[in-house]
Amino acid sequence: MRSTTKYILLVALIAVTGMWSCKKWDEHNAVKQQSLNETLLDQINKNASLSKFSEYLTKTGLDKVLSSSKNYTVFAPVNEALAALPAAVTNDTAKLKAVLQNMIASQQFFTSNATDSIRVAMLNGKRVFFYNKKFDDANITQADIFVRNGVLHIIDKAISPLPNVWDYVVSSKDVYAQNAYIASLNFLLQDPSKAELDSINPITGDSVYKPNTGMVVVNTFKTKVSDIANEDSLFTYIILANSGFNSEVDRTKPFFKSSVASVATNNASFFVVKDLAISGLYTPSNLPAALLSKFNVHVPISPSKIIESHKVSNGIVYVLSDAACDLSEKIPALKVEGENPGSIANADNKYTTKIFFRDRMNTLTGVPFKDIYLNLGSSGANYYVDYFTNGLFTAKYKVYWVAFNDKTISGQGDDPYGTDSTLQQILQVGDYARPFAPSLDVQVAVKPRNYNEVYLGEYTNTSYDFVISKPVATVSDTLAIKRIRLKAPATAATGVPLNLTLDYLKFVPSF
Amino acid sequence: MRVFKAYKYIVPALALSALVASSCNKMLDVAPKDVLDQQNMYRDVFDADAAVIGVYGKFMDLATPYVVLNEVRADLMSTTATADEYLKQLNEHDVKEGNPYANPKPFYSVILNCNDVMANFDIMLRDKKLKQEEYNMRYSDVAALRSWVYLQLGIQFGNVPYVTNPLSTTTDMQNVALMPRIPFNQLLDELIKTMEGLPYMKPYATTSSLVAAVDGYSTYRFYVNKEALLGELYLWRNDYHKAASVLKSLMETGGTGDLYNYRLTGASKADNNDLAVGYVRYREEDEGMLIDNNSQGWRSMFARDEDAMFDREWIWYLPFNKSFEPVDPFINLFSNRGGNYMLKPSQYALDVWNAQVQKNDFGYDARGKVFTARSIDGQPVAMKYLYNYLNGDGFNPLNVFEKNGKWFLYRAASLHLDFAEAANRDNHQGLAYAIVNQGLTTIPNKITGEGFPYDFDARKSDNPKITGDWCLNVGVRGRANLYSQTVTGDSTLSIEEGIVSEAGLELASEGRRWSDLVRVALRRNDPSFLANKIYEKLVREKNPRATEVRDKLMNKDNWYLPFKWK
Repeated sequence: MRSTTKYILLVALIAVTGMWSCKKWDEHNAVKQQSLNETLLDQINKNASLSKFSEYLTKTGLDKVLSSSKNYTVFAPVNEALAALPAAVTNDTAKLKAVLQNMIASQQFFTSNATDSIRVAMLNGKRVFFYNKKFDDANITQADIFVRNGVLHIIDKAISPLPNVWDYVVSSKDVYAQNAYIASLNFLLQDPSKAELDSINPITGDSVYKPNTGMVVVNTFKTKVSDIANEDSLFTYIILANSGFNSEVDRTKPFFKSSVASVATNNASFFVVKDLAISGLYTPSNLPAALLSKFNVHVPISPSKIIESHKVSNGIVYVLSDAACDLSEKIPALKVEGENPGSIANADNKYTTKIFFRDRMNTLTGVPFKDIYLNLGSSGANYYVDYFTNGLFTAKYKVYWVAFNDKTISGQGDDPYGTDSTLQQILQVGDYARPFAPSLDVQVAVKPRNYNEVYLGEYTNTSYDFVISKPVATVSDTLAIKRIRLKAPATAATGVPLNLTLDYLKFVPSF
Repeated sequence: MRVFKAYKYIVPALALSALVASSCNKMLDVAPKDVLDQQNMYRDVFDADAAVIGVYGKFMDLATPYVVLNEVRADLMSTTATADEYLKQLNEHDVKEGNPYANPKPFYSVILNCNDVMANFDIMLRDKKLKQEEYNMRYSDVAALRSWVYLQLGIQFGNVPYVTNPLSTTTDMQNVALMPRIPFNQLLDELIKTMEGLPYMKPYATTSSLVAAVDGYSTYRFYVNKEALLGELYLWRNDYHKAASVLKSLMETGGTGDLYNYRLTGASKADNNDLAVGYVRYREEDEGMLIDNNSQGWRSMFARDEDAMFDREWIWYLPFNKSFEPVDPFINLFSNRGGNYMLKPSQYALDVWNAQVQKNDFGYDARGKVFTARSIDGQPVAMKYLYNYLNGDGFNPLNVFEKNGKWFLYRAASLHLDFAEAANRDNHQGLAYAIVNQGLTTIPNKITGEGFPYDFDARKSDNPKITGDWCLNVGVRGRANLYSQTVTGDSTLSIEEGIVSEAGLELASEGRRWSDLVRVALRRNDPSFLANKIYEKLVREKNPRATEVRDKLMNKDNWYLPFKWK
């Protein structure tokens, strides 16, 4: 009897062992080294080659972070790598902490996550490239050590935090006129999320904030072009050496003639720099012949003109001797959509109920468009619609419109809308100021059912006094605004209504 | 010793159990108070009413399969990225075993319920528990509902078992799957025979105890419309004259002098209190002046309360309400706010709507991109079922958990399109064209001399005083503010094409599309009529299986779902 029991026990034991080994076989591709009963700090302290790292962790107080219960990924440099850090860093706890934080991420990242390159968010807010067994420039010598609160990778080089594009701009503003200009675009603004609420305007319902509360400094290059201080994005930032920058500003200046010389320089400078922060990382090895800016301008990059390049935490900075952009791209044609009027001659109901925002289909191209139609009939004499724009620079423009003049039945059995006749429309362009004194003033026939652009005349703008880089347009900023007026004539031939119609206006600059 | 000890207990135990067994019948036969025995279920007319309501309660489980099968398999509705695997199978006509939408069981569950109720109505009539008139109405209603469910089964599954005798036990239910299946045409004959033999064809008399106000709804329009169903059955069997006759009778529900009910009238331009695509008067050219709210215009038929205007259009619908089961399944299927957004109007549908031209020369059909397939958060949303769930202007849920809505089954526009389909094939093409396009006032002399069912009087004059019953009819496209369709080539085929296309524009996502496509494709014996439309849907959504699906659908046998019981 007893011997039987013995056998049974033995068989059971073998079976159990078999089960264990089976499990292990199933997970043969799992993380190889795991010590789930240890924290990152335990693991680091245990490793003799990381003793310096461990010492610095204790010195900066980061040891408590790495023994906590949150998950981290640590890229730990070996002792020899840390020895290369300059004394200025190792003796300054704050600086040292920043360096160490640049190698600790607050999430788990295994090398299996990095088969495609990823930018790991580090504790200092920077992002560092992690790709296969590379952490930025460093090689990962021992990877994927899985412990209770995260992952440890051992690297052969300390990766110090880099400045971002914005830091670089500020730090080199004394060297480059371009950066000095960008750094000067600081304005003091009230941030509604920080300002103290005073009251609510009973008429408009808008919030009114107490003056001088929640004031923040805003750089309008960051708000109007690109936020080059953002660590989550990647930029290729081009600096033109001072001579190249000045010559670009001089080339651009003719389009920003102003009675005030500083306004002209400021606007021309802004138009030069707005195309020089390009989103995306273009390293020297994959640099195309021209980079396309956010504003659809091609910036030519000739390798022979690259003076130097700098790696930064959110991209790369090139210093070029010069880069002359195509001015026709810088000063593009302006399109003013008919269905977005700025104001109308008279807001009485008898007029506004006859202003139609229409949907139409170009039956030749099959492309739908929206337009405005003022079905004013005989009551439309001298009625007008005004459009306002800051997009006309000091250049000579050829002006075109598409005005679709048609007649439709009423589906509800009322009178038809529109007309079969050729309409007469007046276009006036001039300064915003009242009384309106247009410098272009033409009356043009609008033939029925014409989908094509019709040439109207030339308009030359002589002065541009608006400061583009200013943060918010206030009343005093309206200096450069141009008024474009679509107007019905005072009289019309018998049977022809004084209707107005406009799909869009196009201003094409000539160079 | 041990053995003996056991006997000691066994003997009294046996004796006791014998006692219990023998006395069971007499001593313990007390009827339980909280359970209704079957033989007490049908005692009077109110029990009969309860049975009818019970059948319809069960019937509401078919809302999801009805809409999903008829829309997702057809051309105007498509799956979203969040759709489940089963919906994608339907979309790509590749239904695998275990697909819950393609399960005939819930259909038979309703059918067996109907059978049981009908058998009991017979007994009640025999035992004089129901008056003949009460019996006629209720029996006809349940029989018609059963026929409707059978028609759907036939459309979706092809050959199905036809069971009409009552089966009471759950094992019988399982046996249905094993019963012999009859071909669709034979099924149609059976259903038409049943419908023609019904003693009562009209809706419940308003004096009937089944027409009441319940939970704020009048139940009058909850019950299947027998004439509409019979008309559709005739259409399926290509009995055009009979179809037109029975549908005409329904179109004239209001009788002489009623100019509105089911007459498909146009825009009321002075106050916009209508069911038409309309604009604020004198401002039709302004896109912002479209009547787009829950109480006026075309959209309101899906949103408005059950008022007189609602009754002009709706012939059959069932409500979903937060205060009773079942929960509205459509919100989860269609809404991207408060729902899972699994189904959307297909790109093909949007393209077709946007290829229409309204009378104000806007290059789209407002029924499409504004009312039926509205863009919310940049996504096209099938809106018809959501107007009682989302608020009227911002389209946010009124209350995420209060799922109110309706199951839309049959309305005046469906009726007119069905009638036009029959008339067109019955050599009354001009009339069919008028009904679909700008209405009966566009027929020559505004009066047809064509005899029943093609006699329409749309005249209106003051001297002599004439007011034809159809003088306000504006046609399906007229009501939608669209220009007429053009007719090319063979007018019968061309007009039929137009009717099917218009049915898509008007009735999209109401669960009729697949039926319409199958019926016409069968009639023409032209699988490409159906296959090409599904192909267009898939191609425009860049579905790599488009060609494969078209090839598959070129074989009629592949139009039907596998009859797999679960």
